[in-house]
Amino acid sequence: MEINRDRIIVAVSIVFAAAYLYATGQITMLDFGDPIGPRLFPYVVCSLFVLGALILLLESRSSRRTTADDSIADAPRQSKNAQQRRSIWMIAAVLGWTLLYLLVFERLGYIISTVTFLLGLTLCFYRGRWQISLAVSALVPILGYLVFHHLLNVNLPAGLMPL
Amino acid sequence: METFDHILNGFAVCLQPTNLLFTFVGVLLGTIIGVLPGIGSAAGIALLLPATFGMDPTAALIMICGIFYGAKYGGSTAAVLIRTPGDASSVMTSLDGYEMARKGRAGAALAIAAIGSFIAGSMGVVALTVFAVPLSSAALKFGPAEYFMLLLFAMTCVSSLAGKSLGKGILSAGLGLMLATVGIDLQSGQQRYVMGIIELQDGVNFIIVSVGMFAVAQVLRGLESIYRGDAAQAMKINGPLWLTREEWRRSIGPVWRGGIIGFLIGILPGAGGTISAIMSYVTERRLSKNPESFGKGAIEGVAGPEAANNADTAGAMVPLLTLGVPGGSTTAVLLGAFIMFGLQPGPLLFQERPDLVWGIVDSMYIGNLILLILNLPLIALFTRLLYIPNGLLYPLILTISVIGAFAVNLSTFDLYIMLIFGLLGYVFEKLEIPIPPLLLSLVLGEMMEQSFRRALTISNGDATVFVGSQICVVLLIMSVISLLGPFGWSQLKRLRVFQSLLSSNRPSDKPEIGAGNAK
Repeated sequence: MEINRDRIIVAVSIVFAAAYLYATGQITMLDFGDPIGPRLFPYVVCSLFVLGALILLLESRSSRRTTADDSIADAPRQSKNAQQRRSIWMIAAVLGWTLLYLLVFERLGYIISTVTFLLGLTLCFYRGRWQISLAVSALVPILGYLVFHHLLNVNLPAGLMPL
Repeated sequence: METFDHILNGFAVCLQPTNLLFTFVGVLLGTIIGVLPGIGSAAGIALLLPATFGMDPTAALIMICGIFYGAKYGGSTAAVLIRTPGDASSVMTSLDGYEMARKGRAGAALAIAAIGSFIAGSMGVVALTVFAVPLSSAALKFGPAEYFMLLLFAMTCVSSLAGKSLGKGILSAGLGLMLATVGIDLQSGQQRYVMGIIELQDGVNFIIVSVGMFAVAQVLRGLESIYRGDAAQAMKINGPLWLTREEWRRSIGPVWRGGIIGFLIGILPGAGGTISAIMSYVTERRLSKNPESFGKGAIEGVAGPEAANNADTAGAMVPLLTLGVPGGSTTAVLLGAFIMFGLQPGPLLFQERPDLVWGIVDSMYIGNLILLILNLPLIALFTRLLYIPNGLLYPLILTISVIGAFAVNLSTFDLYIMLIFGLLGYVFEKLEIPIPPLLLSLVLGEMMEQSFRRALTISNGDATVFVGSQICVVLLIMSVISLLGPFGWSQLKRLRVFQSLLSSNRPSDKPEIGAGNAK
């Protein structure tokens, strides 16, 4: 499992380095004023990146020779994999909910969007105590707005709520 | 004599009521950030940086540095009570500190953590005061080539020491450098890797990346542990909040030794507080007459590592202030904070702004004293933060992260960047790719490129300029050793002959770090 992961990292890194290399070639060079040019340093960085990928490949090969991951039985492994899949779906749901929050952040305003966002998350992860979730989700954004907007001069979006 | 005047003037600066207030605010916030498990000092500083916009630079930097060393004090609380280090460098404290708490000696563990931190932290600041001037004077001889090699050395150290795999460390550093090249090139004015997105013309902001990779990623991991039902529960403090005479006698040696170890390791780029704490723990275990008691509630296992990780912060300030080179992710964020205020740490800052430099250094004496006063009588109050349900805490951290990221440029685009880097930080953690090399490279990338191009311009494109002086050659050799040393050592250890040599000559005296950290 570990070896496969490292191989995937190496493959993704090589593809990323190739894309970076292509983009570096597209940078316009000027004939005057800058003898070194804006491409040289990125080329050096790209070489370093590829070197890192090659070292990782070497490390994954030598670890394959010395370790064998046969100690975990099939049943616990399947259960672990199922749990990991569920976790991935949970993380995807949280990221999706956060993205939705960011999309409406300016339109709805800081307070309305944050109250809704917090309420959704706390109801999911602090189950059974909806009164506390509701109180925290309503009060903290208002307190946050007062502190950041008025005390620290951070201009948070007002959105639909006239503030 | 002139230096002595500057040091005294530094006290005059840091004792001004405003600066004193911000020292207090900084160490208080640092303690709170340290107590809360998962939010390290790097994320804490990155989150609070936007709040310092418009502040006087001296007051702001005194406060930010206060958060840095204050977090080390607070980190021990979570380590002792829930066996999860609040700050990564408290990982060793969780081994014996938690066992002490189970035996009803949580108060003693927290007290020695605070006292040890104070003694070693103050020792570290004295050493910082002594070493700062000679080092900054030596750094004045550095030209662009030497500076480039110095930055390269810092980066190689962090890449090779930050994780288990050298390859992953280099990939992380390389990605950070790639991100640093995004935006308008300072010398030619050409756009690079902007992809038609106007917001990327100014580059990728390190605050946004720090908030994403540290705070947002930690929230994702925390919510995942709640979902899996393996979130840690805090223990109650039982017993007296003070040490017995015997415990004090056993602790004083580890505190002194931890202070020295921590400061020396702190100076090295890449090593950081965690390695200081591990080194101190291993040293104490070797010196102990009862090494078998370690891991079962030995107070030496709390006193030494806690002292070491606090002295480490003063050590880490040496290369940051004198050379302008950070050695880890928190000092990289600190360097970013200096640059944000238009200040470049290094030898010239000692000449141009001695009031600011010595004001910050001297505020660390005051800050350590405030931390001792705060942490001994108020420890019961801080521990209450650990009883905040994680299901409420993590969503709140996420909304604070959003405010922090939005406040940088008042742009929603930055929030998307933050979310992307939050996901990347989560994936990095799962794949065991170290994050500090990426952040360090992102902060240092621009300076590194400018030094690189300036050195080549001066030498008319001759690359031998990077081995053209003794300083360059020494730094190059040190970079190669730091990069290939751990890799070569790990390859050597794989040889069967060497393995048999190691097993016959040395008992297994390394603590099981992973085990302590995972629980």
